[in-house]
Amino acid sequence: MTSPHLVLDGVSVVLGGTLILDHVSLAVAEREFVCVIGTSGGGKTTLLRAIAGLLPTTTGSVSLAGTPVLAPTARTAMVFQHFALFPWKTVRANVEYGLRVQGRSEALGRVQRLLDALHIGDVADLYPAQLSGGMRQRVGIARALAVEPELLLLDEPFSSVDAITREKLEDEVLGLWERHQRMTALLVTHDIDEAILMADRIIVISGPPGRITFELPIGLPRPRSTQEIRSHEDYPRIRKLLWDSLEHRDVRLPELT
Amino acid sequence: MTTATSRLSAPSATAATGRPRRRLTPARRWTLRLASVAAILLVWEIYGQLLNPILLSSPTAVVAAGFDMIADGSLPQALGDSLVVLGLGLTFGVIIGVVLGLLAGRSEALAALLEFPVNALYATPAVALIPIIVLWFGFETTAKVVVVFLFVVFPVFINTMRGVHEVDPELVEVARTFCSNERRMWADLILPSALPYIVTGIRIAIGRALIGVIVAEYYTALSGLGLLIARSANSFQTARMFVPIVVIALLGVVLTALLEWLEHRLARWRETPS
Repeated sequence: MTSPHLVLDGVSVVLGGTLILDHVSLAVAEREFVCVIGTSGGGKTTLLRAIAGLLPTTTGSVSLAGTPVLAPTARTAMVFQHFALFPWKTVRANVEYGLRVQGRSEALGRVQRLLDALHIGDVADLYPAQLSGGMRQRVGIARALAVEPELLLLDEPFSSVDAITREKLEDEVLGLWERHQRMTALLVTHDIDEAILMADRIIVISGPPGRITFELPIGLPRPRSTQEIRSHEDYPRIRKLLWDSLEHRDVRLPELT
Repeated sequence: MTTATSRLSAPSATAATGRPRRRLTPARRWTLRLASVAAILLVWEIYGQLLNPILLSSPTAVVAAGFDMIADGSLPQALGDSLVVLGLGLTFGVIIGVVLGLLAGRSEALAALLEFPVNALYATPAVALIPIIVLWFGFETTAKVVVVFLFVVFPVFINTMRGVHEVDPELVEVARTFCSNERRMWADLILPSALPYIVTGIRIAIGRALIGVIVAEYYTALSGLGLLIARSANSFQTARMFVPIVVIALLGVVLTALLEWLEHRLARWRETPS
């Protein structure tokens, strides 16, 4: 086995005097898709922000391909929960953004392919305000993929779109990842089904303060789709395991306080 | 989930707040705009005819006086003098207000340094400062430009700084995750976010600049449109007195329209419905 791509070693984060993450250690292999689930306020997003280098760790370290992450790096790209598109840039300019800031204009040729792959080629000249939530997040995903990151971070990327669009987007993004650009990926979600669909491995974080309380490899065959996964014979068992792991914390909580 | 619920509750929310706002067609909006002007002119005309012309005069008399003043050259001359003062004061005020506002918006230290002096000067009526301005800059154009500048610079500065502060923190995170440098951050993020605030600042500044021009022309050496108003009023030529006043009002309308046109060109993305 090769050395892991992303390593978190005893990461704690204190924000405003509150312990948000408590000694989180995690190793993610190259091209592995890890989903982090947990209830709201459990420190999932903080974990992602620490990995992105947006937030200094109080103790412990984050390293990507052997290099400590102390600030955001061009090797990581992030998809934001609320899209965070530039309202004054067209769809195309938003997708090109990362490449332009990083001075990689020679790679702009791939933008059109990405726009087409995510079905936003027809709206490339529109502004975000003219798009639906689902379309906006397609732009957010294309923007992150355009820089061909080694590590893709997704912060509840589908939680702000409606249920039907959400399922379609999950399948499409998964398909893109499985068939084209298999980079290391870390997706934060509070949706168990989404996590099972996407992940090679699921990490359950319970908090506050956020700790890893459960870990489950998902060995379901790829390529996957929502329909196939849900009718897989192991699906109910995996789902129950994860539910129980989340429940367990809720049961334990009164004793802690 | 939140999207779904808010979408469901949207129609009932409109129902609760009453009828939805209907948007005017452009033709209707222009009709209403011109109707208000026509109504004011009509009332002025009728009432003006009834009174002694020294007290109010009337639009037709003012227009006639306007043509006289163009013919005798007094209006173009005065307008030219005033426009120089207005143009210079407004330009310097906007440039310095925007630049200082942008810098103070990004640097807390500069903002702290400028806070008390700016608030103090902004609250002080610029008229009160005219004696000292005259002492320093004399009675002529320089002093007048300084007065207009003082009327202009503060609203532009304060609004610009505010605009920089209103940058969406999430977009700042986007810029950071993509490793944007500070220069790109200005172009991609800070200037576009601050633009509407800068425009608001300039809009306020235009109105204040016009006040500043007349104040400067009254209180330093009488000149320009201010001179025309004062001289016509002193000789009870009320119709001629109204001509420069109308010209100033028109200047305000034209400058504001120009600014709006410029804003539309710069911020086309905002005209699309969300």
